[in-house]
Amino acid sequence: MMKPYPAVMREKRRYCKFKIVSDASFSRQQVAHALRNAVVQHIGATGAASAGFLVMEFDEESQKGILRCTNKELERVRSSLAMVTEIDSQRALVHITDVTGTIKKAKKEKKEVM
Amino acid sequence: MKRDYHDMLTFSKECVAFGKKLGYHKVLFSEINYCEPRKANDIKTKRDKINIVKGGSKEVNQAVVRNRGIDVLLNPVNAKNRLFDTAMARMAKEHGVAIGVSLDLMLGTNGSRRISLMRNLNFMIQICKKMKTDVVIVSGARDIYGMRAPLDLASVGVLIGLDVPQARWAISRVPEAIIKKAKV
Repeated sequence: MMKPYPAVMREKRRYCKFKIVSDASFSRQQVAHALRNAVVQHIGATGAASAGFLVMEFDEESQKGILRCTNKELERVRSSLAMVTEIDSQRALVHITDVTGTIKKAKKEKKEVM
Repeated sequence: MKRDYHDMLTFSKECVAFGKKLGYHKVLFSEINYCEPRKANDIKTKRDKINIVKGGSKEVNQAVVRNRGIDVLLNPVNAKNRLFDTAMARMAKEHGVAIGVSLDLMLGTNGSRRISLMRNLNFMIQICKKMKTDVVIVSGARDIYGMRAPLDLASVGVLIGLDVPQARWAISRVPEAIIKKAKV
Protein backbone atom coordinates (compact mmCIF):
# COMPACT_ATOMS: atom_id res chain seq x y z
CA MET A 1 0.00 0.00 0.00
CA MET A 2 1.24 3.48 -0.83
CA LYS A 3 2.19 5.78 1.94
CA PRO A 4 -0.36 8.63 2.24
CA TYR A 5 0.72 12.21 1.66
CA PRO A 6 1.38 14.26 4.78
CA ALA A 7 -1.42 16.68 5.67
CA VAL A 8 0.51 19.78 4.55
CA MET A 9 1.02 18.33 1.08
CA ARG A 10 -2.60 17.43 0.50
CA GLU A 11 -4.68 19.91 -1.46
CA LYS A 12 -7.40 21.61 0.52
CA ARG A 13 -10.83 21.03 -0.91
CA ARG A 14 -14.08 22.90 -0.82
CA TYR A 15 -17.48 21.31 -1.25
CA CYS A 16 -20.16 23.51 -2.78
CA LYS A 17 -23.82 22.75 -2.34
CA PHE A 18 -25.71 23.93 -5.39
CA LYS A 19 -29.22 24.09 -6.71
CA ILE A 20 -30.42 24.25 -10.29
CA VAL A 21 -33.17 26.84 -10.78
CA SER A 22 -35.20 26.10 -13.90
CA ASP A 23 -38.68 25.25 -15.12
CA ALA A 24 -37.43 21.90 -16.41
CA SER A 25 -35.79 19.16 -14.34
CA PHE A 26 -32.49 17.59 -15.32
CA SER A 27 -30.70 14.29 -14.82
CA ARG A 28 -27.34 13.97 -13.09
CA GLN A 29 -25.59 13.39 -16.41
CA GLN A 30 -27.06 16.49 -18.02
CA VAL A 31 -26.07 18.69 -15.08
CA ALA A 32 -22.57 17.24 -14.74
CA HIS A 33 -22.00 17.68 -18.48
CA ALA A 34 -23.23 21.28 -18.50
CA LEU A 35 -21.22 22.32 -15.45
CA ARG A 36 -18.06 20.61 -16.65
CA ASN A 37 -18.43 22.27 -20.04
CA ALA A 38 -18.93 25.68 -18.42
CA VAL A 39 -15.80 25.30 -16.30
CA VAL A 40 -13.68 24.03 -19.21
CA GLN A 41 -14.96 26.79 -21.48
CA HIS A 42 -14.26 29.45 -18.89
CA ILE A 43 -11.00 28.45 -17.21
CA GLY A 44 -9.76 25.87 -19.69
CA ALA A 45 -8.72 22.25 -19.32
CA THR A 46 -5.62 23.11 -17.29
CA GLY A 47 -7.69 25.37 -15.03
CA ALA A 48 -10.29 22.65 -14.53
CA ALA A 49 -7.52 20.17 -13.76
CA SER A 50 -5.89 22.44 -11.17
CA ALA A 51 -9.32 23.16 -9.73
CA GLY A 52 -9.99 19.43 -9.38
CA PHE A 53 -13.55 20.08 -10.45
CA LEU A 54 -16.00 17.23 -9.91
CA VAL A 55 -19.77 16.97 -9.55
CA MET A 56 -20.03 14.50 -6.70
CA GLU A 57 -23.73 14.13 -6.11
CA PHE A 58 -26.95 15.27 -7.67
CA ASP A 59 -30.46 14.59 -6.50
CA GLU A 60 -32.83 14.65 -9.46
CA GLU A 61 -35.91 15.16 -7.31
CA SER A 62 -34.83 18.28 -5.49
CA GLN A 63 -32.39 19.38 -8.26
CA LYS A 64 -29.71 19.88 -5.62
CA GLY A 65 -26.18 18.60 -5.59
CA ILE A 66 -22.64 18.83 -4.29
CA LEU A 67 -19.55 19.66 -6.29
CA ARG A 68 -15.92 19.65 -5.32
CA CYS A 69 -13.00 21.93 -6.12
CA THR A 70 -9.77 23.12 -4.51
CA ASN A 71 -9.83 26.12 -2.19
CA LYS A 72 -7.41 28.10 -4.37
CA GLU A 73 -9.62 27.85 -7.44
CA LEU A 74 -12.97 28.33 -5.69
CA GLU A 75 -13.54 31.87 -6.98
CA ARG A 76 -12.76 30.92 -10.56
CA VAL A 77 -15.04 27.87 -10.42
CA ARG A 78 -17.78 29.98 -8.87
CA SER A 79 -17.51 32.63 -11.56
CA SER A 80 -17.57 30.04 -14.33
CA LEU A 81 -20.71 28.48 -12.85
CA ALA A 82 -22.26 31.95 -12.74
CA MET A 83 -21.88 32.06 -16.52
CA VAL A 84 -24.18 29.06 -17.03
CA THR A 85 -27.34 30.30 -18.72
CA GLU A 86 -28.79 27.08 -20.09
CA ILE A 87 -28.62 23.34 -19.53
CA ASP A 88 -29.58 21.08 -22.41
CA SER A 89 -31.12 24.04 -24.32
CA GLN A 90 -33.35 24.95 -21.36
CA ARG A 91 -32.89 28.19 -19.48
CA ALA A 92 -31.39 27.56 -16.06
CA LEU A 93 -29.13 29.02 -13.43
CA VAL A 94 -26.78 27.45 -10.91
CA HIS A 95 -27.19 28.78 -7.40
CA ILE A 96 -24.41 27.91 -4.94
CA THR A 97 -26.15 27.81 -1.59
CA ASP A 98 -23.27 26.87 0.67
CA VAL A 99 -19.53 26.19 0.69
CA THR A 100 -18.02 23.81 3.23
CA GLY A 101 -14.63 22.31 4.00
CA THR A 102 -15.76 18.74 4.59
CA ILE A 103 -18.11 16.41 2.73
CA LYS A 104 -19.78 15.50 6.03
CA LYS A 105 -20.84 19.06 6.64
CA ALA A 106 -21.95 19.45 3.02
CA LYS A 107 -24.25 16.45 3.36
CA LYS A 108 -25.76 17.76 6.58
CA GLU A 109 -29.12 19.38 5.96
CA LYS A 110 -29.03 23.08 6.68
CA LYS A 111 -31.88 25.51 7.07
CA GLU A 112 -33.37 26.02 3.62
CA VAL A 113 -32.29 29.18 1.78
CA MET A 114 -34.54 28.73 -1.23
CA MET B 1 -19.11 40.14 9.90
CA LYS B 2 -22.32 39.76 7.93
CA ARG B 3 -22.76 42.18 5.08
CA ASP B 4 -25.88 43.40 3.39
CA TYR B 5 -25.69 42.77 -0.33
CA HIS B 6 -27.48 44.95 -2.85
CA ASP B 7 -28.31 44.52 -6.52
CA MET B 8 -28.65 47.98 -7.99
CA LEU B 9 -30.14 47.28 -11.39
CA THR B 10 -32.91 44.91 -12.39
CA PHE B 11 -35.62 45.41 -14.99
CA SER B 12 -38.55 43.40 -13.70
CA LYS B 13 -40.58 43.13 -10.54
CA GLU B 14 -40.16 39.35 -10.23
CA CYS B 15 -36.40 39.91 -9.83
CA VAL B 16 -37.03 41.79 -6.59
CA ALA B 17 -38.79 38.81 -4.97
CA PHE B 18 -36.29 36.33 -6.40
CA GLY B 19 -33.36 38.47 -5.21
CA LYS B 20 -34.59 38.20 -1.62
CA LYS B 21 -34.53 34.40 -1.97
CA LEU B 22 -30.98 34.53 -3.30
CA GLY B 23 -29.87 36.46 -0.22
CA TYR B 24 -29.88 40.11 -1.25
CA HIS B 25 -30.82 42.72 1.29
CA LYS B 26 -32.17 45.07 -1.33
CA VAL B 27 -32.86 44.69 -5.06
CA LEU B 28 -33.59 47.97 -6.81
CA PHE B 29 -36.18 48.15 -9.55
CA SER B 30 -38.56 51.08 -9.11
CA GLU B 31 -36.02 53.33 -7.36
CA ILE B 32 -33.78 53.70 -10.39
CA ASN B 33 -33.74 56.08 -13.31
CA TYR B 34 -31.94 54.20 -16.09
CA CYS B 35 -31.08 55.80 -19.40
CA GLU B 36 -29.19 54.67 -22.48
CA PRO B 37 -28.20 57.90 -24.25
CA ARG B 38 -26.72 58.02 -27.74
CA LYS B 39 -25.49 61.57 -27.34
CA ALA B 40 -24.48 63.61 -24.30
CA ASN B 41 -27.59 65.81 -24.71
CA ASP B 42 -29.89 62.81 -24.21
CA ILE B 43 -28.81 62.30 -20.58
CA LYS B 44 -31.72 62.96 -18.23
CA THR B 45 -31.50 62.79 -14.47
CA LYS B 46 -34.15 62.69 -11.73
CA ARG B 47 -33.52 64.11 -8.32
CA ASP B 48 -35.23 61.53 -6.07
CA LYS B 49 -34.00 58.45 -7.91
CA ILE B 50 -30.73 56.62 -8.41
CA ASN B 51 -29.45 57.76 -11.78
CA ILE B 52 -27.73 55.04 -13.77
CA VAL B 53 -26.47 55.90 -17.24
CA LYS B 54 -25.20 53.38 -19.74
CA GLY B 55 -21.93 54.47 -21.32
CA GLY B 56 -20.15 53.12 -24.34
CA SER B 57 -19.26 56.12 -26.48
CA LYS B 58 -16.52 58.57 -25.63
CA GLU B 59 -18.85 61.56 -25.66
CA VAL B 60 -21.35 59.97 -23.25
CA ASN B 61 -18.66 58.61 -20.91
CA GLN B 62 -17.06 62.06 -20.63
CA ALA B 63 -20.38 63.80 -20.07
CA VAL B 64 -21.41 61.32 -17.36
CA VAL B 65 -18.22 61.50 -15.30
CA ARG B 66 -18.54 65.31 -15.23
CA ASN B 67 -22.13 65.20 -13.98
CA ARG B 68 -22.54 65.23 -10.18
CA GLY B 69 -26.21 64.25 -10.50
CA ILE B 70 -25.39 60.81 -11.87
CA ASP B 71 -24.62 57.97 -9.49
CA VAL B 72 -23.38 55.18 -11.75
CA LEU B 73 -21.76 55.07 -15.19
CA LEU B 74 -22.65 51.58 -16.38
CA ASN B 75 -20.45 49.65 -18.79
CA PRO B 76 -18.15 52.41 -20.10
CA VAL B 77 -16.33 49.71 -22.07
CA ASN B 78 -17.73 46.89 -24.15
CA ALA B 79 -16.48 44.13 -26.42
CA LYS B 80 -15.82 46.53 -29.28
CA ASN B 81 -14.18 49.50 -27.62
CA ARG B 82 -12.21 50.57 -24.59
CA LEU B 83 -13.11 54.25 -24.31
CA PHE B 84 -12.11 54.71 -20.69
CA ASP B 85 -8.90 56.21 -19.38
CA THR B 86 -7.26 57.52 -16.20
CA ALA B 87 -8.55 61.05 -16.78
CA MET B 88 -12.14 59.77 -16.84
CA ALA B 89 -11.54 57.61 -13.75
CA ARG B 90 -10.12 60.59 -11.87
CA MET B 91 -13.01 62.79 -12.94
CA ALA B 92 -15.51 60.12 -11.86
CA LYS B 93 -13.93 59.96 -8.42
CA GLU B 94 -13.97 63.75 -8.06
CA HIS B 95 -17.65 63.97 -9.05
CA GLY B 96 -18.81 60.97 -7.00
CA VAL B 97 -19.74 58.78 -9.96
CA ALA B 98 -19.22 55.04 -9.49
CA ILE B 99 -18.25 52.81 -12.39
CA GLY B 100 -20.70 49.96 -12.94
CA VAL B 101 -20.16 46.54 -14.44
CA SER B 102 -23.19 44.56 -15.54
CA LEU B 103 -23.32 40.76 -15.49
CA ASP B 104 -25.96 40.94 -18.21
CA LEU B 105 -23.33 42.19 -20.66
CA MET B 106 -21.12 39.18 -19.97
CA LEU B 107 -23.93 36.64 -20.17
CA GLY B 108 -25.02 38.09 -23.50
CA THR B 109 -21.69 37.42 -25.21
CA ASN B 110 -19.71 34.30 -25.99
CA GLY B 111 -16.60 33.16 -27.81
CA SER B 112 -14.22 35.82 -29.06
CA ARG B 113 -16.57 38.66 -28.12
CA ARG B 114 -16.56 37.54 -24.48
CA ILE B 115 -12.77 37.29 -24.57
CA SER B 116 -12.37 40.87 -25.81
CA LEU B 117 -15.04 42.07 -23.36
CA MET B 118 -13.22 40.48 -20.42
CA ARG B 119 -9.96 41.97 -21.57
CA ASN B 120 -11.48 45.44 -21.82
CA LEU B 121 -13.19 45.10 -18.43
CA ASN B 122 -9.92 43.94 -16.88
CA PHE B 123 -8.20 47.00 -18.31
CA MET B 124 -10.94 49.27 -16.94
CA ILE B 125 -10.76 47.69 -13.48
CA GLN B 126 -6.98 48.19 -13.39
CA ILE B 127 -7.51 51.90 -14.07
CA CYS B 128 -10.23 52.13 -11.43
CA LYS B 129 -7.98 50.43 -8.88
CA LYS B 130 -5.16 52.82 -9.71
CA MET B 131 -7.32 55.93 -9.42
CA LYS B 132 -9.32 54.50 -6.46
CA THR B 133 -12.65 54.99 -8.22
CA ASP B 134 -15.68 53.19 -6.78
CA VAL B 135 -16.73 50.10 -8.70
CA VAL B 136 -20.17 48.56 -8.44
CA ILE B 137 -21.26 45.20 -9.85
CA VAL B 138 -24.90 44.83 -10.89
CA SER B 139 -26.86 42.01 -12.48
CA GLY B 140 -28.91 44.09 -14.93
CA ALA B 141 -31.35 41.18 -15.08
CA ARG B 142 -34.41 41.26 -17.36
CA ASP B 143 -35.84 38.11 -15.71
CA ILE B 144 -34.90 35.72 -12.89
CA TYR B 145 -32.49 33.78 -15.09
CA GLY B 146 -30.30 36.85 -15.36
CA MET B 147 -29.83 37.03 -11.61
CA ARG B 148 -27.06 35.40 -9.60
CA ALA B 149 -26.38 34.96 -5.88
CA PRO B 150 -24.42 37.84 -4.26
CA LEU B 151 -21.18 35.92 -3.83
CA ASP B 152 -21.39 34.58 -7.40
CA LEU B 153 -21.62 38.18 -8.55
CA ALA B 154 -18.59 39.01 -6.42
CA SER B 155 -16.65 36.12 -7.94
CA VAL B 156 -17.31 37.60 -11.39
CA GLY B 157 -15.70 40.77 -10.04
CA VAL B 158 -12.67 38.73 -8.98
CA LEU B 159 -12.53 37.30 -12.48
CA ILE B 160 -12.25 40.73 -14.07
CA GLY B 161 -9.46 41.85 -11.78
CA LEU B 162 -10.85 42.97 -8.43
CA ASP B 163 -9.50 41.57 -5.17
CA VAL B 164 -11.91 39.47 -3.08
CA PRO B 165 -12.59 42.25 -0.50
CA GLN B 166 -12.97 44.84 -3.27
CA ALA B 167 -15.42 42.59 -5.12
CA ARG B 168 -17.50 42.18 -1.96
CA TRP B 169 -17.44 45.93 -1.41
CA ALA B 170 -18.68 46.38 -4.97
CA ILE B 171 -21.93 44.62 -4.06
CA SER B 172 -22.29 45.82 -0.48
CA ARG B 173 -20.68 49.05 0.72
CA VAL B 174 -20.57 50.97 -2.56
CA PRO B 175 -24.29 50.41 -3.41
CA GLU B 176 -25.17 51.14 0.21
CA ALA B 177 -23.40 54.52 0.02
CA ILE B 178 -25.14 55.33 -3.28
CA ILE B 179 -28.56 54.44 -1.87
CA LYS B 180 -27.88 56.54 1.22
CA LYS B 181 -26.76 59.47 -0.93
CA ALA B 182 -29.82 59.28 -3.18
CA LYS B 183 -32.16 58.89 -0.15
CA VAL B 184 -34.48 56.34 -1.80
